[in-house]
Amino acid sequence: MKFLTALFKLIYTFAALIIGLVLASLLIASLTEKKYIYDLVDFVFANRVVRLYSGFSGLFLASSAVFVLLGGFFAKKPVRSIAYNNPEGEVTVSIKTIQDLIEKTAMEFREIKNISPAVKKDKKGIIISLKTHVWEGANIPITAQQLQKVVKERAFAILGLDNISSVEVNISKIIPRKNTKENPEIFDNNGESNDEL
Amino acid sequence: MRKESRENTGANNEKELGETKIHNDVIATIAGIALAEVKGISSPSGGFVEGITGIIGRKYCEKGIKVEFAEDSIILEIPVIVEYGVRIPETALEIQKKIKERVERLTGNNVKSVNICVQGIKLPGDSKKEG
Repeated sequence: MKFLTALFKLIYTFAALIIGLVLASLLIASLTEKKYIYDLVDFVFANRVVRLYSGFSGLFLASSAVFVLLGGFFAKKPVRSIAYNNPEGEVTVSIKTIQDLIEKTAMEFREIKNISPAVKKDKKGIIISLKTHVWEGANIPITAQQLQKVVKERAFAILGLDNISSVEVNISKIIPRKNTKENPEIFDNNGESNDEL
Repeated sequence: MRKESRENTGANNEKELGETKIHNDVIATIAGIALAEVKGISSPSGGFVEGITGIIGRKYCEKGIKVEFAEDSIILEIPVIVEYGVRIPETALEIQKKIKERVERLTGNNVKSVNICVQGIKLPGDSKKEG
């Protein structure tokens, strides 16, 4: 799928670049001798406003294509692993390992139905984003705070990652409780049963 | 003195009686056996023996132990799967020390660094989970 997306972007970029340059060239009338564009050129040149629009549209397309190309070239590549050094060498932890640990940690929370972790890295450190579905009745602020704390602690204790700059929790859905078997009881963070459920 | 590509021929110890070559696969096997002695660790490719074979020339952190030479010392890259609950910093250091000591003792070559690549975490109930 990524390959197709990249292919489409490439095709679009080159198409936009070619069309843009052709249209832009009309503005300076450099291609008027080419037979295949005679009709088009006649039409465009017959009207000064059309010629200006065509020229500026071409310039816009050409410049946007260049920006797309430059954007793709300089875009940050996704991080696949986090590495740190110790006296004997380097330890590299794959992103999949971090995600698996976070998932396992999060599923210890009764309030959480499921979680999709994402790991990014910037100049400040590692950013962990947690797209989370919680059960109905869960105390979201407290759950989120606890989750952030535990994830950060485990990432340091188990993975050795001490440069986690933030743990972002995004509660994207509340799952209604259908029956008592699926979600028998949700406790608040004092360990007491939540009567609202 | 004839020099050969060390990447393929492995360690090369020249003595008065002749030279002794140690192939990279041998060094990888020694490292693999030492790795197998560490608790809470498994090989990404199933067994250590299978993971050791066909290891040369692969990309960094792929399955299989990778052996490289930097001047007169060895650099090892060890991919591992850790069991859930294992503390990676301590375990990685244990692996590095054990492999370094074993390879240096059995081959007589200096080990510059042992790089650990944690490819995945083995969760309870998983037969194998890789990154």
